[in-house]
Order: sequence, then C-alpha cells, then structure tokens
Amino acid sequence: MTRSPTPKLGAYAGLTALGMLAALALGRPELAVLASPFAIAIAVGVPWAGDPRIRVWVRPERDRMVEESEQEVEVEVEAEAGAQRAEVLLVLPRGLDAVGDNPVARRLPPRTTRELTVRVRALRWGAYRWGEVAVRTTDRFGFFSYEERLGEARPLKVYPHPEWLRTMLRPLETQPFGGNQVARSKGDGIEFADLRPFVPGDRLRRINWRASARRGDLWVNEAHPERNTDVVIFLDTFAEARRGDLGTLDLAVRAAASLADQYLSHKDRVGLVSFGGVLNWLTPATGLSQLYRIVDSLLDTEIILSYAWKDIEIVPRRTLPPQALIVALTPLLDERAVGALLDLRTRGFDLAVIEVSPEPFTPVPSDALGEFAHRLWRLRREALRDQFRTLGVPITEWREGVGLQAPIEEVRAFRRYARVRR
Amino acid sequence: MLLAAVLAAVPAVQDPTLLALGGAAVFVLLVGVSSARALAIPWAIAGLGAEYALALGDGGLDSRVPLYAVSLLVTAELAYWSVQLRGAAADEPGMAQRRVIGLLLGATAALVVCTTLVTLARIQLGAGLAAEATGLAAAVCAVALLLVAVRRTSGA
Repeated sequence: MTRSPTPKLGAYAGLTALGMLAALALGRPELAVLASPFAIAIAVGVPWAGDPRIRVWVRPERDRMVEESEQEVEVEVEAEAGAQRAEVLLVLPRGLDAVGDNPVARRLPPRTTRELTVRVRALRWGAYRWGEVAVRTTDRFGFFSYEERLGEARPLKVYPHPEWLRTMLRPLETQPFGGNQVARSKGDGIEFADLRPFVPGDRLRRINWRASARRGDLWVNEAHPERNTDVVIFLDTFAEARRGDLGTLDLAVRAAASLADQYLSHKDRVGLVSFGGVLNWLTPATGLSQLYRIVDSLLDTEIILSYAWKDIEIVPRRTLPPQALIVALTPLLDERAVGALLDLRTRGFDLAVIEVSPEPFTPVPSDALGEFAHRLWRLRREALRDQFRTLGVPITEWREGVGLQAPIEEVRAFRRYARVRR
Repeated sequence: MLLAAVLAAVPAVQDPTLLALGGAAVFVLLVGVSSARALAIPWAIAGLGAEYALALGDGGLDSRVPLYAVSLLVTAELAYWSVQLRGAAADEPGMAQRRVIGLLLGATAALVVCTTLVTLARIQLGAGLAAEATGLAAAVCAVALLLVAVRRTSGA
C-alpha cells in the first residue's frame, strides 16, 4: 500500500498558514477566522486518515477466449477499515479492453464485500497474464490517497478467430489414409473416375449396367478414393510490417489458425513450421488435439530479431513429409524466408505462397525521392513474385480487409491452369 | 463557480476596485476546474480571501466572516470534487448525495466553530505586550503543529 498526500492537504495547510500569518501581520482576527475551517479540516482529517486495508478477489469466467469475444470478470473488493471512495481498475494488458466503465468508483463500507463486474473484450490473439486490480482510495477528507495493486496474475489465452473457408487448397498428392480429399489415383471411393472392362474378382455392384448393355460386354466403374493429405503451414516470422495494433504477423497467424482448423476438420494431417529468429515446429498430426497444439503454438509466435543465416536444412525432416502441401504465409520481407521457400520448391515440395502484403503497413512516401524508392521496392517485390511463378509456385497477395478465401481461390486457379515443373 | 462568483462580488460591493482581484480569482478557479488542475484551487481561494481582507478596511470585527469562511471552505471542497470527477472512474449512484450530506455537515460544524471564534474575538481581554505575545505564540504554534502533523503523516 502506497500512501501519499493529495494536493488538497498541502493547499489547506498553506491556506491555514497564510491566513494565520496574515491575521498576525495585519492585526485582523477575521483572517484567522477565514483560515480556521481549513485548519479544522486538517486537524480532524489527518488523525482520522488510515490504511483502508483492502482485499481483492478476481474471478474471470474462463481462461481461454477467442478474438473479438467477451467475458465477464467478477471483482470482489473489501476494505476492512472502509473507504469513502475507492477507484477500482482491472489492469488489462494491451490486446484486452474493457467494455463499459473501468475504472469504477465505489464506496466501501467497513468489512463489507462489494462486487463489481467488468466486461472484457479480447482485441488481439495472444497469451496474456492478467487478473491484477489497482485500487486507489482516499480518506474521508481527501487528504491522503492509498494506492495498491492487488490480486494475482493468471494466464489467459486468446485464440485467433478462425475464418470459415468454403474451399481449400487441394494438394497434388494425397496420403494413403482415409480422408475427405479425392485422390487422383483410382481405387475404392465414391467419386466416379473412369470405366474399364470387367475382370474376374471385380465386385458385381461396381458393374455399370448401362455401359455394359451398350457395349455388349461387362464394364465396371472406377472411382477416386478419398484420402487425407499432409499440410504444413509455413509461417515466416523473420520480419513483419506493423502499423499500430495490426501487423502482417497478426494476419498471418489468423490465416494459419483458419487453415489449420479447416484442414483438420477434413481429417487431414496438419503441421506447423514457424520459421524465423526462433524455429518452432509441430510434426503433422490429425485431430482436435493437434488443432489446440497448433493454436497454442501460434499464440507464442513473435518476431525475434536474428542476424543468423538460416536455411531449410535446420527444419527437422519429419516436419516436412514427402508429398505434403506446404502453405507458406509470408510478407516476403526477409531473404532467408524467401530462400527457404525457393529451396523447398527446388526439392520438389508442393508449395503455395500466400503473401501477407506489407504494403498497407508501409508509410506513404512524402517526397519524390521517397516515391521513387517505394516504386523500386514494389518492382523488386513483383520480380520476386515472378521468380516464384517461374518455378511453378502459386503466389498470391493477400491484404488486410480481404477474406482469406480470395487468395486461396487465386492459388487454386493458378494450380488449375499452370503446369507444375518438377 | 457560482459560489465563488458570489464570494468575489460581495467585497466588491463595498469597493468596486476589488472586482478585478475577485474576477481574477474566479477565472483561476474556472481554469483549474475545467482543466482538472488542482494546483490552481488554493491560489483562487487565496485570491478570494485577499479580496475579502482588502475590503475589511479599518472598521470593527466583521460579523459576516464565519459565513464567508465557511463559503470559502465549501468552494474549495466543491472545486476539488469537480477535479476528482474529471478522473476516469465513474461514481456509483448515491455517492454524490452522501458526499453532499457530508459537506453540509462539515460546513455546519465549521460555521459553529467560526462563530465561536468571532464571539471569543469580541471579548475584550485587555491589550498589552503580554497579550500580543501570547496571541503570536499561539498562532505560530498552531501553524507549526499543523505543518508538523502534515509532514509526519506525509512521511508515514
């Protein structure tokens, strides 16, 4: 508890001294009378002032939230000695915001617990520590203020809000396990693939009677089997462009969470490689627990400055299974990430790049020279994109405010019409 | 602000030249309250008190001084309250009523004490060096005690 005198105490003491001394100097008792109410206030108020002995209990509804969601936090405050006016502030880290009043002022009668409800909104994904309450009280006369930070910090995880995607990127190759992706190969499945002559051993129910009647011989239907795929989300965390509360990393993490959610709901195996100053990875796996692992891993994602040269060699082999689709989310700002992606492509991986555009976050050039430099920078980026396209890598620019479905559709269109070089 | 304006106007009725001082004090108070600067409040109160002191002249003991003193205290309290309300924390309903009641009770008590002081000041106890010295010592002791009490509690 920090106790400090308020400006009011000094002012009243000064006015009292001034009045008394002026009364003496001028020989006017009226001035002493003028000062006496202030003197009485001090004489009564100062001895009464005491530590209110405040205790606080904080009870959040839950310790996990989704971006843009809200929860109510109950704060119970008790002042053993009472407080005329207590300002109670639930301390919120950057990324969380209170909906409504925070702080609030309450009268705290002695030994009575008052309950406050603060509605908290999660503005940005991340792992936070919260639960501390700052309480400031003043004594009855307002001569002293008592400030204290109470409560214990507890973890809160705010998960990125996943965006619903109508269609996903289909990998070039599927894995042998069952899933929702229609494989290019032929086998047992639902999707019709082709017709072929009947051979002994074929099941009768696969005979296409209409085609058999037309051709005078037995023909059977062939189908594409439904298989799952391996998808690795490659997150470039070497550098980001940021303006205020929003940056390319925020967008990339949200996109990664959405992609992971969608692929895992389609029974695919999803892995994560966070490639930056610190390398984090999750080997591909399937199921809800993998989604939680990925999202928890994404929450810890941050840009860590590093000058060390890193290439794809440092990524563990099991993290990048053969025939996996690698979806890269990158602002294309660091040549190490660019080099690693090009390296992946030359090693034959099925790669798609979603470029989280840093352009909305760059300052507008103010003079001709700046404009020229900006134009050059954009040209270099366009050349870089061409380099990817030349290698058969679909690359699409994604900006803030545009749904993730748009770049995915662009990549799908590229893959549909472009030939893949091997 | 209305109370401060009244306090500035009352001495100016006797001597209109004091209106400038009173007006300046009210202006300082207005600036202090509107910009939530508590530092301006004592200067405004001191200005109003100085205006009153200058208006006293050479007459006898002014019988209105308890009312003026209590009004100064109420003005200061209301000004500090205004500054506090400009903070981020919103008061719960009912707090203002309790505070007004407390302020009225305090003002009444201060009025009683001031009236008693004026009554005591009217009693002729005789003049002389001893009486002057006693009065001086009492005033200095009172101020010193207050300052010591404030300093000790501030350091606690």
